[in-house]
Amino acid sequence: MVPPDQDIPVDPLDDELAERGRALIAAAVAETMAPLALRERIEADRARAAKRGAGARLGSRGLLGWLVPAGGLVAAATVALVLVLGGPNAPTVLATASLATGGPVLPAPAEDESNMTVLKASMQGVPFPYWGGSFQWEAVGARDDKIEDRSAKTIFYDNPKGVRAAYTILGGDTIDAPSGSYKKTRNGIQLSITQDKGRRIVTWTRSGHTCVLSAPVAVPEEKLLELASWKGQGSVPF
Amino acid sequence: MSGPARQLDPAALGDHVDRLYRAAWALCGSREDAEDLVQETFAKILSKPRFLRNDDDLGYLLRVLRNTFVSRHRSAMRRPQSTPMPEELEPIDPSSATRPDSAVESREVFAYIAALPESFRDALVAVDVVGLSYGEAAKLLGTKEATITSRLYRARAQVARGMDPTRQSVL
Repeated sequence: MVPPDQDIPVDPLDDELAERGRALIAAAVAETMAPLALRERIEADRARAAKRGAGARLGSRGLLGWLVPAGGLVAAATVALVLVLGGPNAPTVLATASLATGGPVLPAPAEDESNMTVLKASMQGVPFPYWGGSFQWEAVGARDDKIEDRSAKTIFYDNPKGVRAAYTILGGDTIDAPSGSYKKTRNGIQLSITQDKGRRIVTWTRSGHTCVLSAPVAVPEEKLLELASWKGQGSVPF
Repeated sequence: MSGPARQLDPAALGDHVDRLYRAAWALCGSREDAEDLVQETFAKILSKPRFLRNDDDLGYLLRVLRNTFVSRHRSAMRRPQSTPMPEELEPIDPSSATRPDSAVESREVFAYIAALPESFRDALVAVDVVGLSYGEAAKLLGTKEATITSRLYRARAQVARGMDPTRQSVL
């Protein structure tokens, strides 16, 4: 039973203390992140659980046991080939942006000493920008994924308030902007903007690769566009 | 009101790791115990498909975390106590390595939260640490919003008092 503690009189002198406590807690919360090692362990557990789940769904008959009765051996071979090769469809921007929800599982890359506007991390020769100096958005982690058989590298950046943005460069050819997105041009770069699941998503092209930047909608659109189109006085390759 | 059941998406769990880690640290008062608690919580959640009747994934995850913490605490009380790692040997939190002062302060803040009376601590963890609304916290903790407001007020004041050596009082 919860005691009726709202009936206890409040000392007005505690107002200042309560506000200070709130600020102290907010500061501690903003600067505390789960260690990468913990994230890695959880990601490994999740991958194992996903494998177990797939096995359980297929049941004791296994993959071919489900496919053969449905459409014969030719159909089974076709579907199996599609599964192995990743399918005929290119990944979508929204699917690429959803990689951010997995969070970082690799350490943050350092900045490149030979070009202080980029990080020592790239996808097929396209480096990720270093935003720490100009914007105070520091790289805090990374992850590598495969999506529709394409490589995708994501770098996570945090601003001083602990708000996180995820920047993914997709390997291979460019993909279409999501339907319903609208376009704006900043710094000579055409950017497509949309929202999905509480995140603002910006898409553009660098050196023939699709880049996807996403952050909570609380991050103003203009800030995301500024980050996405930042060229570091010409030293960030586009 | 509850809608149709939907399955909790394991792929989206990574979104909540930071918040659950902070909550775990505020419950346990120790980073090492917090890591173990979060991993155990996720292992429990991933052990079978989970179905929710609302959109409050975070509230659900916090409930599982808190239940896991309570059962771990009960088990620990039945076991011989181990000696904690000396403070000076604690590994550096890489996220705070460049700001040693704030790292020490955060550790103290979480330690004070963990030492609060349970009802105050739970309200503060739900609202200030995890970010639930007062209504969500009230639902999670089975109480009224007014009670959450009152507990939060006192809990915040006690944390501030604890962090100020000139104004410390018994929690």
